[in-house]
Amino acid sequence: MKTNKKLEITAWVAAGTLLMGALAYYNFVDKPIQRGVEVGDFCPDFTIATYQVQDGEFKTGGDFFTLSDQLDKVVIINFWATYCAPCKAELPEFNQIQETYSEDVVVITLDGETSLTDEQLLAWMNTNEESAAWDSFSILFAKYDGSEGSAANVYNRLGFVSGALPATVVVDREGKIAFKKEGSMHYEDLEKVITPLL
Amino acid sequence: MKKFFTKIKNWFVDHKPSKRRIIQLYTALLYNANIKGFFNGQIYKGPTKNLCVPGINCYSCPGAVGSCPLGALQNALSASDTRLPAYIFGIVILFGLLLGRTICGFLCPIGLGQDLLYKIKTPKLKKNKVTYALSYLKYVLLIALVVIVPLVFAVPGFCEFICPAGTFEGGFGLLSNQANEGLLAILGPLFTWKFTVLVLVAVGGIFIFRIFCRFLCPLGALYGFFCRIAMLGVKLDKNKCTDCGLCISVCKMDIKRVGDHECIHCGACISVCPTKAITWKGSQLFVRENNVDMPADTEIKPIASMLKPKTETSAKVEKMATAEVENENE
Repeated sequence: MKTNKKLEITAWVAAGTLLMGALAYYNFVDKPIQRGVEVGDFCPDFTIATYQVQDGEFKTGGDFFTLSDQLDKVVIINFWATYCAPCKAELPEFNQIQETYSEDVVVITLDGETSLTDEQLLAWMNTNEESAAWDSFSILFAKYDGSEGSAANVYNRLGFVSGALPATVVVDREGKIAFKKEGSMHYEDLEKVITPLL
Repeated sequence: MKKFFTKIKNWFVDHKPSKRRIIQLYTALLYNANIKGFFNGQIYKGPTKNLCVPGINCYSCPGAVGSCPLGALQNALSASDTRLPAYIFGIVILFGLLLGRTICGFLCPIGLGQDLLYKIKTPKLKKNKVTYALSYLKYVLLIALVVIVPLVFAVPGFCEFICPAGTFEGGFGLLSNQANEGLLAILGPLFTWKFTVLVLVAVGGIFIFRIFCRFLCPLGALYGFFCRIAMLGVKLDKNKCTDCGLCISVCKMDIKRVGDHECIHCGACISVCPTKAITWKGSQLFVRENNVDMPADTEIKPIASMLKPKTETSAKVEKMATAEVENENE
């Protein structure tokens, strides 16, 4: 019975150490990795091939979008995914902003799903009911390589690490990040953000 | 005044938590060690999230440091063209072989929550024919929502449509934080439905013992398949059993035998068994055997060798006695 008592004490001590270690590690040692930038920083430049619309169908081979070339306008960068219902719901409101402020604003919306190729994403956009009206939109669509650690992962480079969608970044004419948000945006919210920047 | 403190002391003595309760609380805290997540409203996404914890604990709980095996299984089956399902199946089978439904009794925060809810003093619904029948519902849910729906529609069916643990831990855990205010705007009818399920389970749990575990939990159903071969748990010594049925009547789960697929190995039957036929199985490393109850001055060796028929436990006693005699001789 003596060995059992010893084992019991060892077990409790080991369990206690594990818990204390875990609490210390997760709460004080492990910090979310900061891969990107915050509001007020200069936005990292990126170039991405946009989709073009031909005969009411999305296709590859649109113009290249380079952030630094667009700074004569306020740039709104939005992230979406085919599985993200609120993302799809907010896109028409982004388009409305683009149309109202066409002289001063450029909106680009990006998909980074690693499970889809360009072709699969285009097929989804061209056939899905939810995206039926999108070919008439004046906002830009593009796909980036969303894999973890990829240099082309715009989402990470703009300072998002959580994976939460939708996400939106607004870049002012100096090239600085003026606004950053994970979560839905409505027309009024966007208007409030861009008005002082125009 | 002194009387008051004595009363308080007595209360604590009376309400001293059992070892099982301590393990349950410990587990709940260890699974959710990322306490900072509850304050900043962000879920942990580091390397330990690639592993599953044994019990149900939502991946999206801000505190969670591991994945939920049930959620991982559904997501793996949704991506069934990859090797992911094999990895998750391996983990779940390993847990099943090692611990079986002991996980339900000891290592599941949702089980703990229901144990505590059931402590609220109200009239309780005893197990009956209806609950026996309902206990098979979880197998239906396992096949329909955990296997078929993810395979066919690539949607984690149980997580999406039923799981009250997800609504409570993931849903409320995230929504209660101001940083996630934006999420409130996107709640739809699905959340209303899941909230309803959560309320039903939580209120039901006050009146019906472990309502979620007994009727709904597909993970418990899955671990139940390992009841005969799991390394830990309670076991029945048929040589000592007199079929008195006391264990079945004291058990609040829908069991037919001690240690069958509905048994959560809580150990409540061990102390009521008049012939001490129920014991913990598994290594002596983990638990003390409760089979030696002879007077200390008995000559152990001759008596032990007289026991017939020779059972597994008596053989062990004999072996221990021999070892002791040898030690003394040295």
